[in-house]
Amino acid sequence: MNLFDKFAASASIQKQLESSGLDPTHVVIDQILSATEGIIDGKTTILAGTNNYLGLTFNDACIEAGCHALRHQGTGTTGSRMANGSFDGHVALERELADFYGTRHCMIFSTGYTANLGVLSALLEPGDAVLLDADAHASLYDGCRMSGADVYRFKHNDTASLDKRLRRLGERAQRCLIVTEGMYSILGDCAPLKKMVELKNKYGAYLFVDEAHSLGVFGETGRGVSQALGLDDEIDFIVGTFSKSLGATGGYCVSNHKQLDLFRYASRPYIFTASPSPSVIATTRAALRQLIKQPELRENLWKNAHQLYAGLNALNMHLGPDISPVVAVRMTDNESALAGWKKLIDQGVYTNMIVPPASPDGSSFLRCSVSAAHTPKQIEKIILAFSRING
Amino acid sequence: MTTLDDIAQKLVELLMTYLTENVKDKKIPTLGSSTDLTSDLELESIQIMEYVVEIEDSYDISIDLESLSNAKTINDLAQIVAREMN
Repeated sequence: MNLFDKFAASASIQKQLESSGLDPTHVVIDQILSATEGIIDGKTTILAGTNNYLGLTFNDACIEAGCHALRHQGTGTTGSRMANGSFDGHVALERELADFYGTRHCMIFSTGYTANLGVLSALLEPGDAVLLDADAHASLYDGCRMSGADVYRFKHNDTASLDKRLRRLGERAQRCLIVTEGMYSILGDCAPLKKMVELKNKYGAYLFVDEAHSLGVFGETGRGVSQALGLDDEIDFIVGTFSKSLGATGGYCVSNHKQLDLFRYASRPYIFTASPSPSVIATTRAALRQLIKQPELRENLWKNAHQLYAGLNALNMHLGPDISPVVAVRMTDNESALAGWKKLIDQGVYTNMIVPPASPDGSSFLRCSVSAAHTPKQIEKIILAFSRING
Repeated sequence: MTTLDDIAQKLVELLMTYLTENVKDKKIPTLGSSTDLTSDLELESIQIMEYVVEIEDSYDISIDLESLSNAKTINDLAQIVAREMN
């Protein structure tokens, strides 16, 4: 037994994936043509699995802001904010996000992954308790584990399961953080936040919501599921990412708890990571402005989501429970998912193949994420391509 | 008083719904406290998670992920259940 023997299982999976001719986990987009099209394997392909919900990656104002920052502030910060200091853009973006959410505090991170790691590992310590939705993203699991707190899972979106676990904690519930997501990334279903807020208030616990996939998608001004349900003021910590609706890279946490600012002294993923580069901050700030001033992007997004969901539903595809910009088609097994994915890519449609252990309930999925930038004709093509995968 | 054997027996009963027919046919005669949940029973991580949630609700206890990460066999799980019940 040597260090590398453990990779035998991965090698076997890789071999199976490569047998399809194009490994879904190693797709190279040779050329990006727009927010919704690229060239893959020599073919113009509709990108239907990018999480580019508002389609802002090619927005002129965002590109101009990024270019300006590159020219005037350089390519990178070359260190962490604790060691190298902050650029004015870091501070401005934190202020703008806090204003957008109407919270007193905001802290930004270099990626969405490190935002979850950074907040959870700083907030929690051994002796604290976490109640984590079983289908939560890996970054939430990793952040909870990193903290050393006791982590207990509850059934996905099951508030009775959550209630039982809060009750069992007894007085420890007051040192408990409930961790959930706004919209879940694979099936596009949303957390029952209203009931969760009731439970956190009943037991004196705290609530953390990851709105990575719901920023720009839900809510009157695009703040996420919490806003859509009128619960912003009830959520203790909202975390999100710049890498989806805002078309960049990075993450953030907003909160009214004044201690959030103290996390800067305790959060290793914040302290020991290079801060976001100036161009990333500039495009993110520009994208946030677009998100605020163009509510029609959200309207287009939902129109496209309804069109795709209705089209696939008419084909009797097995879809997730809620209509949302994430539309996942459940496949019978890994093999049919891989074969279906290959048939889609051969027809010029890129989707995400999701198989265990990355899938939420052990099933296999072909996952689409819709963009505001998709045209109705592109959505039609996606539906047509799906109609041919079982043939 | 509930013994470790009692708990192990109950855990085996709860386990049955998570086993495929194929595994059930092969394993029922030898299913016991030393049975390995993954290598012997071919359970996926998602099934183990659901199984653990059912155990928790049956005994009205909560088992943290760190404890679970070291549990390989039914006996390991029974020991965790016994500890949480006390």
